Amino acid sequence: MLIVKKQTQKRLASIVLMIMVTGILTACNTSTATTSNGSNKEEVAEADGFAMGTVILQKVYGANGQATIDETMERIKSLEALLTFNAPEGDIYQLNDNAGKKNVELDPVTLKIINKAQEVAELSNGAFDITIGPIVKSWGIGTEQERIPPKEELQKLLPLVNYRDLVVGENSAGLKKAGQMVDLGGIAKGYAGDEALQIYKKNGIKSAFINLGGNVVTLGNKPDGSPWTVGIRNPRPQDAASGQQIVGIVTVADKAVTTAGDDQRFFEKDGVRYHHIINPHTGYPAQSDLMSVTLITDSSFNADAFDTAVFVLGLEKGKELIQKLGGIEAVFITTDKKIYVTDGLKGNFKLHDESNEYQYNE
Amino acid sequence: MKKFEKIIAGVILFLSFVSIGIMMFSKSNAPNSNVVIKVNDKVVKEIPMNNSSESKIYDFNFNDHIGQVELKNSKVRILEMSRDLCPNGICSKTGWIDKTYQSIVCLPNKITITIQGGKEKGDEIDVIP
Repeated sequence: MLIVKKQTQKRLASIVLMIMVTGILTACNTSTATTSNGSNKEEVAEADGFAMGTVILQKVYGANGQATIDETMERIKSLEALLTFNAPEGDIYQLNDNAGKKNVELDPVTLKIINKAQEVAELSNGAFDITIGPIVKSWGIGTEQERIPPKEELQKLLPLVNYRDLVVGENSAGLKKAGQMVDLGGIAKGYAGDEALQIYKKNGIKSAFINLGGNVVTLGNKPDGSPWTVGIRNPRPQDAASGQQIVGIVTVADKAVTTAGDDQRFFEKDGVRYHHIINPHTGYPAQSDLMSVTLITDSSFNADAFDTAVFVLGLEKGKELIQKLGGIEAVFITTDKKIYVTDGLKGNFKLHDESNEYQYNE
Repeated sequence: MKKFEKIIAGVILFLSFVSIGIMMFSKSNAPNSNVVIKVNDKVVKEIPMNNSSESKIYDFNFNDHIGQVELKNSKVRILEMSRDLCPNGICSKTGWIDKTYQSIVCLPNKITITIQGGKEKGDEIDVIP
């Protein structure tokens, strides 16, 4: 039936045309559907770095993502050299080395961090105290030397813990007593987070996050316009051999989220957990009613500076401090597995607890 | 258009939507995920996830040493290393991970193990502080 009428030819032609058109439309649809979840097809760079005693994860969207990540990592490493008490050329090493002897000239960044730490110490009645150095060293938690120090040793070291003995001037600072030591472990990463954010913004980045060992800073929304989904860790995963489990989720944009918990660095002996957040008044890991606290606020510096204090203070006093400060929201997880959130999070926080062991009363 | 052509057009359109649907559905039963092992932020090994219940063990190099990971049931874990290589054993104590927001980290050796790709619905967490 090769000879076809003209009319049938026209019909056939239009059918073929329709098939082609729908074929093209279908192909376009499916290629959109198979685009990665960053639907803007924006370039993304990711990296794990190691600095400040922890792993630093960066995820940056934009054409200059990798360059931005590299620049940020470099800045973090130079901050580490300045602020760690291990590096002999660094400020903190010099400060500690001259305890009881003389004041030491310090970099403006070091002074900024120390001043903030002192402010937090005052506001929290010493629940956060950067002169905790000798005690931290004595416990060695997270190092190969971790141990339970003998009581007599702690009693001898405790008088050295006193933020009032750290005298801060315009360009210098000094520790009054020999043997005193400043440790910025509880605040340096938070400061670094804010600097990272500045670098991202300077480079025109609109969407990114960084996680400096528990200090998360988010910039903007994700490329698809949705906020970042941040998980709140389960401090007692039922299956202890099962990665990081979560108990809840918050969504944020342009916020810092920091979690301080007794599950980050610890060792167990005879069924007792010894974690890394030392109570400056007792010299022992803080025994508050909290297993973890997560702070959400604009500044990563503030989030890190205050989360240790809030953890040590416990639920009631911690909440009071946060309310006094303003601009900070929090998720508390108590030792009896209850979750509390501040008012500003009530519409945001979602329980997401596979273990089914936690209670969240809105 | 003649009625015949309208019917054909309708059938073709219907079939194309059906095929879009099929393709989108099978996209969400995602392509297999990968286990990514990095040492000092350089990828040293990428392994397709093992979704079977038969355990598979792989070696990887770090700093002139050899580490091992075990893959099984869509999960991965790092196997314990000697104390002199890995003093605190935090990485092996982490246990099995199976989500893209989880990670296994050995700080002293700068090893990170993560899972990439194969995101399922509801597994949409970006980061955990």
